Amino acid sequence: MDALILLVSFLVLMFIGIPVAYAMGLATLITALWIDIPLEAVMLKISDGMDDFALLTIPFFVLAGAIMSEGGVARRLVDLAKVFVGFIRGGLALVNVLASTLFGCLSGSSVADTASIGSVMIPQMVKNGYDKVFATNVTICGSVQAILVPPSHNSVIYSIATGGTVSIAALFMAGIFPGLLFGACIVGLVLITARKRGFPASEVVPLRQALKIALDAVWGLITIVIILGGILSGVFTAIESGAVACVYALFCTVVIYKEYKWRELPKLVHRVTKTVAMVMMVIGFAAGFGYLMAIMQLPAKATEFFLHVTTDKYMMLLLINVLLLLLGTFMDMAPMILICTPIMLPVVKAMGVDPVHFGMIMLLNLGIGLITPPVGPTLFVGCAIGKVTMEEVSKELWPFYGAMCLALLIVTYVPALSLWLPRVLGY
Amino acid sequence: QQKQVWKAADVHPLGYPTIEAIQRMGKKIEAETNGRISIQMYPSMQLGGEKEMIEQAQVGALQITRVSVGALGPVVDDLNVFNLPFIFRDEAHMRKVIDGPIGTELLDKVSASSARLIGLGWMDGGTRNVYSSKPVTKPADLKGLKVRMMGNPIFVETMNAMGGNGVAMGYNELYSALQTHVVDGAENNPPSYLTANHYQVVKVYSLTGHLIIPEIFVFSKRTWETLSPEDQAMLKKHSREAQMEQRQLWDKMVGEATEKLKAAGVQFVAADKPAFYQATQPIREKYGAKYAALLKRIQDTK
Amino acid sequence: MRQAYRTAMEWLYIACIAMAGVAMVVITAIIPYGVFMRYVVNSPASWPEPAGILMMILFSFVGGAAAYRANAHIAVGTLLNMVNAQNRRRLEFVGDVGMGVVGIFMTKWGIQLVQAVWHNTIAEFPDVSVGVTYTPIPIAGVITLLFCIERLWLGQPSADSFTFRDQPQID
Ligand code: NA
Ligand code: NA
Repeated sequence: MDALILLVSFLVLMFIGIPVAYAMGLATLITALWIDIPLEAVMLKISDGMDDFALLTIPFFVLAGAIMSEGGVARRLVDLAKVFVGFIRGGLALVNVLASTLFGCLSGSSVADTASIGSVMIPQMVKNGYDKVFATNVTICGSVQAILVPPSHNSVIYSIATGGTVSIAALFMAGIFPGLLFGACIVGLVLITARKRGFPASEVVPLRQALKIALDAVWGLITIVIILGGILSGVFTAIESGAVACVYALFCTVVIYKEYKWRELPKLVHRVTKTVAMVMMVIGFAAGFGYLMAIMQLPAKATEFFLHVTTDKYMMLLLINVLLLLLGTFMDMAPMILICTPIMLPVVKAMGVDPVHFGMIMLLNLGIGLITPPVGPTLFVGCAIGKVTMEEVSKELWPFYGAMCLALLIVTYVPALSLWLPRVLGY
Repeated sequence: QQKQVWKAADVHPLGYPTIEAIQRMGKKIEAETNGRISIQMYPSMQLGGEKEMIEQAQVGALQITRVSVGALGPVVDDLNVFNLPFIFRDEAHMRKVIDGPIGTELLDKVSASSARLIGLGWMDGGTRNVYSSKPVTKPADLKGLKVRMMGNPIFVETMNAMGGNGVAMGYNELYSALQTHVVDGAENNPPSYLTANHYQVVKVYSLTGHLIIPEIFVFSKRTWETLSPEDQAMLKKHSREAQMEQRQLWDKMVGEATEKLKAAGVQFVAADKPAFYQATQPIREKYGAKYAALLKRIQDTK
Repeated sequence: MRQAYRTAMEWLYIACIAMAGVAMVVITAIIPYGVFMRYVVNSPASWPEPAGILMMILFSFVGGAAAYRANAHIAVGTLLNMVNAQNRRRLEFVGDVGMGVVGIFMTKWGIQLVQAVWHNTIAEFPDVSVGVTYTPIPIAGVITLLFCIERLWLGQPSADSFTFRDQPQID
């Protein structure tokens, strides 16, 4: 009953047109009044939901992306990418997915990934003749890779949730092939869609011109070198890399390419501020919403109910997939991992599922949950960055769900995909 | 009378000594009140970290929460005395202090403060030791090493005084930071070193024993004021029992964790504690000045 | 009176964006400073990280209220686009009232939260009250409420408002 009030009031408020973030907030407050939870606690949860160092990647990368887009850095990088993949139909969409694979090595957060790749790639894709909604969808779906490709801070949380019995290094290694498989599924979909909808392909670039483009893009490429090199060598953390990227992008734009007009900067900050603030409000109010779900013990109760339905291993994994997708729709990843792992893991472990493999199933499920309506931080960020509405995006997401579910089923039913690498490496 | 369910929260997973102790207390209270009062446990940071749990108890959304004194010190200043390095000779000394009049006085100070909390009892949080890739037996060994500390100036400065460079950093980022050498080491008790998997990255555990910080469990004053004096007394009585029970569980866990760490190839190294004690004297002088009398009494506790 | 309120809201919006924008730029500067201190000078500064987070929370709440005036929040328009103009106006009215209610909640219980934790200090900054870190909630609540009154009373800001002057001239 209590849970119903929370969900129904949220849906009603959202459909009468109240901004999603505030609809979540109002539904949470109404329900808190109903079940007699002090509203101060909801307020503090809304604020604490934003109180996370990892979230700083959002302002950093949205800002860096905007500077790179307007300052000519992004255009040069995309020109270079076109040299390699431009002749393929849908080539830029492929670049987008590959950028997520690469960037997934850095952030471990699909929200940050969408914010950064999206603010660079979506405008460029649109300029090159792609449909805005398609560009946004490729970005948000591709970004789920970031959760699997190491390092992933959600793997660390999963390891903590297992009481440290699962090695983080094993989880990191286990994520590589499922991450690549996921990327491949999206790539496959992109290639099919590109052929069907006749997306642009450019001519093969002559060598001399290709060299010129490469030379011009060198300064932009250094951004990637600085970020990757800085993290791998331990100069800064993945989160700090965002701020460093901002400073370097500004340097590049102003000192090297000299394309930027200073009077445009306040406008850029104005725009980025609104985008980031609105994303952060979604995250904050969603934290309040999730808090009430945790207080009502909704995930735990639902899980226990599901776990009593079957004793067949494959049926159980399917049910868990369905349940995680449903719950992941309404709750953020970290609390879901912390709540569900201790309940689900003993059951599936008794059925012979490896905990490392189960970690991959869980992360992928919850990752997909981040982009399914009505509540999905990655989905919201994608809409905000791509300047498209939820309806437009949702309507065209169906084929992507198909590709993602295919990846999910393979990851679920082919344990070797997750377990082969960590075993070979002896974890 | 109306049925009550007290919400209790902890950052640790089910089965952890602090949780187990509170759950056993809940069972006893439920039996004694014939089910009128029971305790619902929210483990594993389900309701947030220690700072957030304290605040939820302050506004009455939670009834019981167990936190480190490191987290409650910023709320009730008197507790900060326990955050100083080397104020206890060892864990046995610390237990004497929290079981005795000093422990009771500090709990009362929590209840009397403006924090909107009632101090129920203490728990053992073990001894914190430095871990890194190389042995740390004396202050000179820490030179140039970046060591992650909890985000409170006392702890960061303690590490600086011990000879290293203290770095405040979130716990979730720590594993990756150790792996990529953004930091060279960290410090914690054996069970946390084990369960956070940090032993897989850095394998030398040096027994510096610089911090022995007890944990405390508190009750929301908002709910406390609605309880009958009999219920209040009953809760106090069971809290004391929980305090005593938890340490048995804790000792068992530390023993098991140490065994597992040794089996995993972790090197345990004895450290020159007097040298570190000397090195951290300025910290006790700087931050301990206002508790001088209390510090003297702690030292005199035999 | 109407014009005066409109002008006041215009300036309030500018103030929100200016504050949030400056906060964002400052965060972007202090985090690399932290890297510099730790890696180059080898004397880690422990304040940039928590300070950055506090400023992010401040600019999120204030910027979030401003984004409401700019109509920039993600919302679902399915139902609004299905009904006729009159019903659409009714729904929008209800929606704006809902926003006002959130503003009132944030103000009232935000202030009570600030009071409840006023004597807590921040671990990293022992001289600052935790209450201060929660003040953005009631502040954003009041601002949201003021913008909500503007919407209900005067309608959306005009097209030449500063609110909409954020698109790049060149692309
Ligand atoms: Na990742
Ligand atoms: Na979702």
